[in-house]
Amino acid sequence: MRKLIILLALIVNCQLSIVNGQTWHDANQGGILFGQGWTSEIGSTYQRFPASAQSKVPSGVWNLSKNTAGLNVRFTTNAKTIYVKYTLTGSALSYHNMPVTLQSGVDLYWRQQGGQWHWVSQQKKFSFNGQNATYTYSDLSPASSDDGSDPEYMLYFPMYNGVSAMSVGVDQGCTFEYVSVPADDKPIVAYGTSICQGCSASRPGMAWTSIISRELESNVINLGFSGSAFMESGVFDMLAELKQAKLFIIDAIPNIKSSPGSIVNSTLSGVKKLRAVSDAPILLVESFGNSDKVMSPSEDNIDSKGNAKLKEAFEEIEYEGIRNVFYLTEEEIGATEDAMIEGTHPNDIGMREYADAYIEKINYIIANPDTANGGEGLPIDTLVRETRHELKKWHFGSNPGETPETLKVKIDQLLTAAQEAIDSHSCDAQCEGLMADIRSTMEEIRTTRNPMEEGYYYIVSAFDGFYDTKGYEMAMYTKGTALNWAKLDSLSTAYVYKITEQADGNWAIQNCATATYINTAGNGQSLTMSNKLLTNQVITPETDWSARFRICNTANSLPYIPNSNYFGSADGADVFNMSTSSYSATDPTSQAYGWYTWYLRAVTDTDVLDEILRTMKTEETIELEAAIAEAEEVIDMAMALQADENTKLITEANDNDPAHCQFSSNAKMPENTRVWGYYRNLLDGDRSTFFITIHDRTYGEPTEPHYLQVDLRDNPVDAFIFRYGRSSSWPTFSWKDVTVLASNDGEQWTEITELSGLPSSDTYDSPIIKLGKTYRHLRFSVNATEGNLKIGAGPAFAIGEFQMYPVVSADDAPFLTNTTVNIKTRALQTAMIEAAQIVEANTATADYIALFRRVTKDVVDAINGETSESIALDSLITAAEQAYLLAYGDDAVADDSQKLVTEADDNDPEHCQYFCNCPYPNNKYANLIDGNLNSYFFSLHNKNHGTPPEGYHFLQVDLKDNAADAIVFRYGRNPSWPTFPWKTVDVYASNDSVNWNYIERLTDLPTGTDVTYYDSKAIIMWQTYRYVRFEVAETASNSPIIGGGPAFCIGEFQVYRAKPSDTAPYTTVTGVAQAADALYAALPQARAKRQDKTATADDVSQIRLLLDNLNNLLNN
Amino acid sequence: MKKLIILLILTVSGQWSMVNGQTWHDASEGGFHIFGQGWPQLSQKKFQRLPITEKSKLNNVALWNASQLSAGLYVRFRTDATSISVRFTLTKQAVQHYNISSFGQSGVDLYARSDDGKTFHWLGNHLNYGFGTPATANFRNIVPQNMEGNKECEYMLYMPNFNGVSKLEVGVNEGASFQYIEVPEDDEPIVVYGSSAVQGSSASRPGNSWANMLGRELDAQIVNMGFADNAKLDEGIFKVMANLKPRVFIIDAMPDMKTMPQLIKERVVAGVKILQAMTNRPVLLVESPGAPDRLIRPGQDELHTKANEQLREAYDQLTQDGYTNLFYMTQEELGLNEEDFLDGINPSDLGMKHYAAAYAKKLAYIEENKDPIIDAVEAIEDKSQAADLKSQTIYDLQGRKVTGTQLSEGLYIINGKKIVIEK
Repeated sequence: MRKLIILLALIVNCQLSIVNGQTWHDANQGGILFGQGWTSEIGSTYQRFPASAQSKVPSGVWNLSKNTAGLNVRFTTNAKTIYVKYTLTGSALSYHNMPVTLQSGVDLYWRQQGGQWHWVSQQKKFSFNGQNATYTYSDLSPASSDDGSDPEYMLYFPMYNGVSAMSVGVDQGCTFEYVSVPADDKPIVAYGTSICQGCSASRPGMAWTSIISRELESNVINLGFSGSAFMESGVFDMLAELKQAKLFIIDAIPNIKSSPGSIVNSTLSGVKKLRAVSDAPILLVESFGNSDKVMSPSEDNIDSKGNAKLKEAFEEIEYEGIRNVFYLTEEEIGATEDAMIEGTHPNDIGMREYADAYIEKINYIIANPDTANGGEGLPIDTLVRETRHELKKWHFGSNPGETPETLKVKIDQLLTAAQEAIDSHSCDAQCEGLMADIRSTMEEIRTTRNPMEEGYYYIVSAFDGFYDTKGYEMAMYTKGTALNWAKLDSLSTAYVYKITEQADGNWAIQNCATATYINTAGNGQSLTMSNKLLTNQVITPETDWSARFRICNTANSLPYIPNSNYFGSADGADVFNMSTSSYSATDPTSQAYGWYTWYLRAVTDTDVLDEILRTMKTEETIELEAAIAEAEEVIDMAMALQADENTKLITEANDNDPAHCQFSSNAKMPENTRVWGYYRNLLDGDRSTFFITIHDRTYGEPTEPHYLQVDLRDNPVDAFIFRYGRSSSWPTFSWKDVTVLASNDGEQWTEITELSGLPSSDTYDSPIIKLGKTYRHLRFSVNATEGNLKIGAGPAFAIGEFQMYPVVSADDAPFLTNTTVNIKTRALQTAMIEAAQIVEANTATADYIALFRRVTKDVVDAINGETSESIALDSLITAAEQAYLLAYGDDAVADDSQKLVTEADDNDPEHCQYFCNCPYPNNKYANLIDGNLNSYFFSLHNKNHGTPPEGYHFLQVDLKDNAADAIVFRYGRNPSWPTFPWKTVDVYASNDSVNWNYIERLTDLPTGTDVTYYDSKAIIMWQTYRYVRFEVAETASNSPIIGGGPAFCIGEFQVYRAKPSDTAPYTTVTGVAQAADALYAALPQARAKRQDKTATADDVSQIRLLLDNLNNLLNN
Repeated sequence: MKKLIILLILTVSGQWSMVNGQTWHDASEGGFHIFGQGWPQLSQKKFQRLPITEKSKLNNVALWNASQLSAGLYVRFRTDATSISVRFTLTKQAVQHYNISSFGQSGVDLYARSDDGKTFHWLGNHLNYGFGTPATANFRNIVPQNMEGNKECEYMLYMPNFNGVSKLEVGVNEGASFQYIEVPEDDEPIVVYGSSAVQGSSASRPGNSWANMLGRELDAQIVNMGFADNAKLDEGIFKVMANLKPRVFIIDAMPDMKTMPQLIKERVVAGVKILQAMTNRPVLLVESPGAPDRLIRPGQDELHTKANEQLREAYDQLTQDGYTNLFYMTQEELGLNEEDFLDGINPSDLGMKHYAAAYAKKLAYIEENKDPIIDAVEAIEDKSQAADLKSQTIYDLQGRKVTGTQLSEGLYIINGKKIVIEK
């Protein structure tokens, strides 16, 4: 009762004083300004930075620091009306994207002691007159407090203006007292952009810094600088002076996103600067993105890129073991579409969302401090924290150098159990056990790593910080002399190392991908690579190589991180020397690249591995591979594989009974639909009936390429061909590219081969498809058809006929009957095994390739029926002929006693030894031997008088009983037809006038008008012939050409048996003639044996003996 | 300072792009259609909320002037543009009110709309704007496919809430398609009558007024009859609104009426009767949200409470008089929080959001529980054509449902037709 009376008295007193005017209380008093750091330094000015900052921070920041964002005073009063008058330093009305109430207005809150803050509306009772502003809060009747104390008020200053004077008035007689900032106050320091400064809240109290200040009951120092938050070193120097802060917030991405290249460095160095002076938690905050990211995603991309860079910095901070740093993501802020005013700044909805995210995160930080010494927590508390930090340094997984994933699971379970024990305050003896388990598991993690195994590895980035490449692994590859990155799953070829264990226990790492590795699918990141990069580097296991190693950007002189592993850097030399010059066209400000974490990933993709191996091969190895491929063909030839028409593999195609249908498909068009077909149509011999897969999306879209599958049941094959019949109704649905797969259980499929560009003919037989082993199921998976109508994962196809045949050795395959082929083929097969080993070892030599090719050729020769004897004989015969000619020369004498033509009766063919394929009508063969040059024989020189020949005009001689093995002819030139003499003549010989053997070509025969007669050189035919034909390839003028050659004219023509000239160069040497004749005599039989392929070693040595004999004489 | 310079550059380059490579579509030269207008056939396609023909009925110059502001008006168009520019001429200078940003007062606001009207996505100008003559707003790097996968996309462009628009042009990048959307003839809008909060103060931008939020939420045309400081429940405005046939009338005038509580009951009763004389369409009476700082200003809140009490009495009176299809929304249902206001009267974006949510919920309730619609018709029919009256729902000319079996002599609305009952 007594208390009430006192209160009443006070109120009366205060109310009475209304009449007497107001009492004003200048806010310019020491120690009462909340939201201001450096208060003692700043003195009595309402600004956010002390004068010392001017030389450290950019001028833009310095100017903005004079805005009073976040500053507030608190006071207690019992007044019913509160008056505020203040002087602005700038115009009250400057911005379109915020109301004056935010830019230049004040904002009032109140609370009962210890209670929540509540807003006091100004009810539009404000005035702005030039730079003078007033606010009046009237009609205040707060409910009484329990202890009768006066309510407390908090008055926020303008967010986007400066204030030179600020005064709070109450009616006379009312109580009034400013609240001092506690000496031990630990503020939250919020550094950021215009958003942090408050744009575009409706009033100062709705800036997120103000909201969290009230709801977390904490003084907040607002260091938001509109458009100027670029994390400069000097700004961090200033922040670091606020050692008393309980939390640092770094929320600069919405500004610094425009120069993303600087984010990682700026953040890292800034955090380190703060950490050097304070253990307080540091919160890194992403940009909240854009509310219109659905319709204008590119605006948001800039934010995403900035955020990615901040995340990168955070990863690095964690890796370096810097404690007590936290992270707030864009998703956690969760801006909604209503939350912005123009696409850059949040309105009140956005501010509320920001504040909610901050409050939740800060509460988490308070509940989960991450300080090195764990505060007052239990020992297990500290252990859990320490363990969590150390875990960030370990990489878990199956890659070499990584710690097995099982240990990750184990430690996570232990930590969860420990956290539960801590949270439930149930840590007693069991916690000793948990701690022991955690320690021993960590020891296991430190010592257990997946072993290095010999093989091929990518170097993969575990980090997702590249520009547009968030969220997946990147592998290195080379392009020219530059290193590039590309998404691992899109790589066709990557930068790969071969790692092999050495005898001394070290490992060799060999750069096995060369500059020929080009992947044009890369995203264009390009960095210059040191040319000594990792080539044949020797590394020490367990120390030098690691799951984590680092790339440092020396161009920017960023320091190496102590205790980190990086490849081959025992002396601290560059591992990768990156030039930033070509780093990014879109980010010219990029000067830094930062750190990335990489690890080894085994190459398991067989295609990639094949490509690596191919690239690593020497030219010799590649040639040997080609030789092996040729040899395989040769062996096929030897085996004479063929399709046996009598062994069709597909006999049953009952569409109604799968047990009697060998065909199946994943995409059979359902029956009774628009157009469908039966499996049975494939065997009915009629291409107009067909089988067809789904070609109408109504009936589904297969998730795999459409296939036709055959079950061979009891007739599995290891090689086959198929015969394909194109559907005459659906020609554009015929197979073009098909992958052949094989299986024995119908579930596990092995890809055998891909047939591409199959012919578009009506029917065709496939090439022989060798399976490598016996398979029962074959699948033909169609990748492309003529028309390529894609339904689901692949094109629809239609077939008229389809049959498969096993491939067998032909009955007459040479190796079955021919011992030589058999033996040579086996030899080649043995050689191929060895050659494959040499290819694998990449050690092929030119000599070995030559050897291997000879072995291959042996098989070819054997298939051709050749034996080494007959081949030897072949070359001996050639040599013998040369020796004989050398001995005798080709100069022959036309001895009249040896005339071979005696009959030329034009009226009686029986008695005419001459024959021409195209005589001019009424020309006489008799003129050739009448001894008169002026009478002549003419071949057809006017096509109107006979049938032109298809080939050359020729003159043929039947020697009848005077068959000869060497001849010479005497030619008499007719002077009347000077342009018609023979110039080039091909000589053929025959014994039946049907089969002709080419002997030789005579060239440059004399055609001059001074020539009357001439004798030819000796024409040695090496065996006896009855018929000799002279085909005239050229005459003196080559005109006229009748049919296939020029017409000719001869005055006289006689053939003689050739007799070696007395003047032959060697015949004067004793024994040469005999030796030559002996050799000559042996040649016919040798030729016969060569031809019959029946030569024996004796035959060979006989000829060789005779030849050696002659050669010895000639050489002497 | 640095930022200001950047802003300037952006604005200049924004104008440059308008000059180059934009195809302009003048919304004030015909071919366009204005949504949110109750009298489109009378407005001569001007961005005004009441046609000149209604001026005399109003008999209130301040109200008439307020009706010439473009609050709640919008155009719809379809385009495959990747860049949309807007230039418009304001009837007043775009000088800020102290309690509203330029965007809220004089800005335009763009949303993409899905074809089924169920999804809307906002587009920001990213500081590419100007408030000169003409004023401009540019929207760039649009990916229309992101809306529904189509190359073309429909947009709605809100006009300023506290300014008038005398000329509007929409520019799209050259070669882009462009087509204004027509207002459907049989569309039944929602008519919202009220104070400055209805007109949109103090949303940060036009699209965030609760009336516009509600329009998107329901994909409905809202006829915005919000007149800041002039929502005095005048007879004239009810006469004007009585010509409309909306799906619901919302009467949300208490914030302006709290200073004259003695007039509330009388005016509300009279106003509703004027409306229901023409149609029995649902009428929703809405309380004031109260003083946000009532803890420290119980006296202020008392004014709101008293006004609300008067409104409640009006509702009760109308119900007693037999008027049905009446609905009522309380302060508690509105559920605004103390931080939801900018100045104690006008909600901020946060408050707008809470307003819109409360309305959406209430309108869904009304949709479920409203009476069948009986519009007054001109033709009066002979009693002989009145079939068995007992099975009919019968209304008197005031829209009151008539109960009991004995009808006195007079004119009644039966089965949607006026029937003369003679004794």
